[in-house]
Amino acid sequence: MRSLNATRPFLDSRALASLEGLRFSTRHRIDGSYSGRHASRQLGGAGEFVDYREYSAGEDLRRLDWKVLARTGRSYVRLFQDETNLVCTLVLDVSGSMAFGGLGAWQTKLAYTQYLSTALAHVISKGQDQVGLALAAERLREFIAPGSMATHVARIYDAIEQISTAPTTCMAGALRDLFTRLSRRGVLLVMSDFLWDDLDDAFAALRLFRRRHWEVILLHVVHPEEERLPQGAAFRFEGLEREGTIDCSPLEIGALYERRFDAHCAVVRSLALAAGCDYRRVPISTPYLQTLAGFLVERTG
Amino acid sequence: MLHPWAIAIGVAALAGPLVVHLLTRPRPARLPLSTIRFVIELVQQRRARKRLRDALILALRTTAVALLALAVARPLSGGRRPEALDDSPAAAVRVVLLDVSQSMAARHGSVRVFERARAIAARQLADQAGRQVNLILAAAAPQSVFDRVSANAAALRDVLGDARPLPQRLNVQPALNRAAELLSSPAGQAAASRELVIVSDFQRASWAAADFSALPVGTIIQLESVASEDAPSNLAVLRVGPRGRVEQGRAFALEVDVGNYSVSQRKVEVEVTLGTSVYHLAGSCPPGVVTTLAAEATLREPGWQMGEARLLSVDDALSADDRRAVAVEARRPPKYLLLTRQPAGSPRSSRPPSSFFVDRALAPFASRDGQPSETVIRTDPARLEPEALSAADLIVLDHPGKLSAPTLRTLASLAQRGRGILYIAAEPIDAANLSLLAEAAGTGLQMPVEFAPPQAGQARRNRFIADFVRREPPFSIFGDEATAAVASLRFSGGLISRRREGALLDDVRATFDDQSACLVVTAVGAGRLGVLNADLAASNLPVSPTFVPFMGELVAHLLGQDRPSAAVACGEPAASFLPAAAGDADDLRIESPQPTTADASALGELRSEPIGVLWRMPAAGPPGVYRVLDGDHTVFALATAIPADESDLTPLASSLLTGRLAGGRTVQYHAATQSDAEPRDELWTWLALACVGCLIGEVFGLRLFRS
Repeated sequence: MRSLNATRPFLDSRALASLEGLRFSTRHRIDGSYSGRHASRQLGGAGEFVDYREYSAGEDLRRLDWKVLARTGRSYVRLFQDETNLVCTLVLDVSGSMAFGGLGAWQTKLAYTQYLSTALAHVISKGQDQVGLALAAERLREFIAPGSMATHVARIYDAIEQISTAPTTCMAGALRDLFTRLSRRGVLLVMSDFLWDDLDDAFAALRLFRRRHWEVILLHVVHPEEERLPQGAAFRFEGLEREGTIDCSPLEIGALYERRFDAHCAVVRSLALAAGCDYRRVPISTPYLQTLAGFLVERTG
Repeated sequence: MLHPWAIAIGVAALAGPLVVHLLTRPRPARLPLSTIRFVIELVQQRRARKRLRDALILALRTTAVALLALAVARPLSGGRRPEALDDSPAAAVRVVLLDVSQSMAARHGSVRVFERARAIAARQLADQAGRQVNLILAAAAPQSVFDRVSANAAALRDVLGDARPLPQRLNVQPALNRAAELLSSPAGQAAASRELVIVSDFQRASWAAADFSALPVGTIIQLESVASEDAPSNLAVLRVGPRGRVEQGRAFALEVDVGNYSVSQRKVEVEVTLGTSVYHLAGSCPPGVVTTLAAEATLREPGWQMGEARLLSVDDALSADDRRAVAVEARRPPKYLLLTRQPAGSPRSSRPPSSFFVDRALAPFASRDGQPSETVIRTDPARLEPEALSAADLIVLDHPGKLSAPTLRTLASLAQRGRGILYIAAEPIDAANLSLLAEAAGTGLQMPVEFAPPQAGQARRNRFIADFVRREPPFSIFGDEATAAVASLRFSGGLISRRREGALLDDVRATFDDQSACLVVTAVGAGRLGVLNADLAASNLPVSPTFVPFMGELVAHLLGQDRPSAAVACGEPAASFLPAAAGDADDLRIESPQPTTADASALGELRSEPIGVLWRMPAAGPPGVYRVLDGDHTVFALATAIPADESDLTPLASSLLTGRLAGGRTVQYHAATQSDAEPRDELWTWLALACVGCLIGEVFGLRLFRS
């Protein structure tokens, strides 16, 4: 592991300084390890009063509102909103399709994801929240449990920098594996192009997280040259995940391809929304800092 | 068969599209693609469609190149079938029948039909070891070059080279019969196959009655048609001459029949030269019919006048029929000899004799002034002189009494030589006279009825006409009023009659209510005999207003004035009795229209017969006027002409020749039309068009599959 102060290829601290005022926040209450600034699923005896609840036998009598009991003869418990820290797990798709960079005008989806995930880890750690990392491809290739220590974050940076793509994808298995490793509820942020063969199974795995009240955020990374085929009479397209090669003329199938890709994106979005996930399309033509800023602003509300 | 080099070039040309297709296939640029699964999915969906497109485009492109190569090669295939008889066995007997009738002289554009036929016939007469051939030149009479089939095809080709179309019609059946004789000869029976090749234009008029069943069974018949696909446009002078009798100094109708064998109406102008006179006739001829043009003419000089009619400013397929010779005899006004025993009578008498009415009817406008008429000569048969009979143009017998046998023989002779006789049968003795007259005329007179005296005590009175032929003279002159004209007529006297078996009933022009004949007109050789079966003195016909026109029309009919003159067809046998005044045959000579080139046999011969001098021609010569001269005086003239049938160049449908007329024989038909003669031009055009069609189809295919 390199030193903490080492220069990170995907971390631009000066550029991220402009985002220091922003914090990654959740839309749901979460379970955290420590006290923090995020609303906890626990309603404890400290913090901000939120409600009354009828007393049940066995509860801590310290929370009983004696004044109300004396005045009405009924026993109520005062509820206070606990605040806890955020536990966010970044899931990065490192399948071969993420290495697509087009004809060279753009960076690869994987590089974009590396920048974005590094920046997110930086922002989350700066907010005293815990951030973890999972690299998923044909399996869960690497998992770093959430943490907030500087050394922990540096480890995440290292892992991100050392990502290499895998020739196959089995995202459903990787997510199920991850599900078994994560014990505390938090935020699951998946960055992928969703070019998965097991798309339905993968979303079934994501629904497991949702059932356990995880907040699942899906960032759909899209390359501009994926949206439409390049101009030209004939191309020999080569698959990035051992799909082989095929010769064709984009002139013949260009329009059909665009419709097919749009349909794929629509399917991913509908599956995400149906599963209760937060979906966001991230074209890599947009600078990652702009994408991150928009994302954080939107989450801050 | 194409040249090997041409085949090699063709194969290379056919391989061209494949090579071009392979060489021009785009070189794909390699590109990693994350969404290749979508591309594969789409390409698989379109793969079948693309394969179909590629196959179709390649097929169209290859076909286009192949068609282009064929068009450039200009092959002969498709237009002309290979000769059916080319692969005939060597030991074959082949007869080539070449049509040399006048229609073969027609031109189609710049090509003369006969030259095309000559080339085809020469090809059929090519030398081949073991094959025996013969050539028949068929026109009015077929002429085979050899009496039997021969291996000397070279001699036949020499004869073929000298052959020319003749101004004759084609008599098909004699030619086929001659071919059958040659093919049935011992040489033909011993041959491995018997072949008949007929080269003709297969005119409808000539071939409609052909019958191939006369040919030996097993004969291979090949018909080589040289006619053009569409009948060429042709105009022809089909007849020229006066209508009826021409009298010196008296106007007559000069008629010219013009046939328009084209698809459109044509304006024609005809110039007729007759002696020193020239007449111009003009008119419009509808297509497909014969139009008669007429002009009034007058011949000042007596005797025979020769000339011709010709179409002016006409450019048609057959020029030989654009002119036609004509010979017209200008005669003096007719003289009538009235043979009767009755006195002349007087109009003032209470009951004039019937001959009185006949006399007046024959010359209704003659001034009498108490003097005998110069036109009508009354003579008692008992004092008849033979010269008087010969000088008369029409002999009328009314109450002649019993005629002597010499008189009857003379009458029969004169009638056969063209004189008209009107016999008014009023008395019972007339039945005997008519019977003897028929005997004297022999086979030249076939009376449709046999007259007999009425039985004693059964007087014939008040007979009326129950039936008559209204379209024939003399009733035709009354037109629609004929029924009213004859309704009031009542006849008495006359003879009873019985129909003869097998007689020509059309000769009975009118019938009484008792089914006896009222009026009979029948031919006697070149003349006519009319019998009016009634006693005019006892009938109301003479006092009826119909009498004069009735008699005038009947006399004109008997004189032959309503008979259109006709020329003798070239090549056909002809025979004519010379006028009685011609004299002895030894003093006469025949002059041809082309004295220097005339074949003496074509002039025929003059032979003295009991009834006169007979001019007999076994085959009439070329078109023109043939004259019989007594010294320098023309005593008779005869025009020969191309048969009118030859002017209609419409060919017979091939299906009729190979079907109905085949007579059970195997008939192959081949038309050597203009398009066939030059099949390359026609074919390469179609090939080029097909090539363009393939290219257009390729463009459409590309546009269709592009979407």
